[in-house]
Amino acid sequence: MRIPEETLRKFVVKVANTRPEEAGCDTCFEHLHEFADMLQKGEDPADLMPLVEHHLKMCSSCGEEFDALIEAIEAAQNAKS
Amino acid sequence: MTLYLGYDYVRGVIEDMQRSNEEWVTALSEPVSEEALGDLRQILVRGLMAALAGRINSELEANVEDFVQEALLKILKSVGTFRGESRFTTWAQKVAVHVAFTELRRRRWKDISLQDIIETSEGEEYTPAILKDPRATPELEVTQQSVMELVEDLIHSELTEKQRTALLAALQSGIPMEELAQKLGTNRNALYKLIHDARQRLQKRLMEVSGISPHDVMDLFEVK
Repeated sequence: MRIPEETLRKFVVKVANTRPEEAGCDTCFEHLHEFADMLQKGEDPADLMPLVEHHLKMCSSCGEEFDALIEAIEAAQNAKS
Repeated sequence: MTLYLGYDYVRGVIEDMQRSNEEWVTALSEPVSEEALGDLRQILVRGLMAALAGRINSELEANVEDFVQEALLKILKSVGTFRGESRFTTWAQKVAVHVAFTELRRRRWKDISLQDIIETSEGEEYTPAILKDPRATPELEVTQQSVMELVEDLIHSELTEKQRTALLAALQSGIPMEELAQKLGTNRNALYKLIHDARQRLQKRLMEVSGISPHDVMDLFEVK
């Protein structure tokens, strides 16, 4: 039973990047709109929400939703500009 | 004192169809304004069409309409919980994206049991690396390879059965968190905690066994 090499490579980085305290998926979701808006305004949300930023790197499901949210916001903006 | 309202901020207000957050909340609270609901529907449809375009192969519009309908119901039900930390439409888009991804993931994985995932993965050959580190020298590659093999060994020797099952299913199949959680009889948050505990254990043992610090591992794989 083997793990695909590219997946294993990414996972090793996650193991190294593991912190004692991490935000869970619920906490991340709770702040995701705030995080996205700050990013859109050119601010650095990682400063205010480091746990959310870290979770987005560690959780591919939440990361995927965040990327989609940014695409959705940008599409709505582009349609208006 | 100069009051500067950035272009993005002004554009954001215009994009929100000239409604402030308070106006959105009022318009979508009982009695609900049909005009505001229609405007929000347009915004959500536009957003999801773009976000899902590369992720759905067929019937994009019909799927998006369904997702937006469900999202609007959730938004109307929970509009009172919006605390104004962002633009209202960003909050609403977040709900719509979550509804869409939850349903797409459910459809993709609903007929596949945990046993199927594990058995399928067991039969797979070692997948070659798709992305090679371009700066990798043979020596670096050997070191990276030995760290990866060690982590894989530690997964088998150091984790609890529950941690190992969850982690291997996730790593070998790529099943999303909420779908795996459902198959394991838990929830997404608890599963994240289980895997977080497993990562902590692996990090500790990796350091003890190899003598390489997490920082050095990050450097080794060049993650800044």
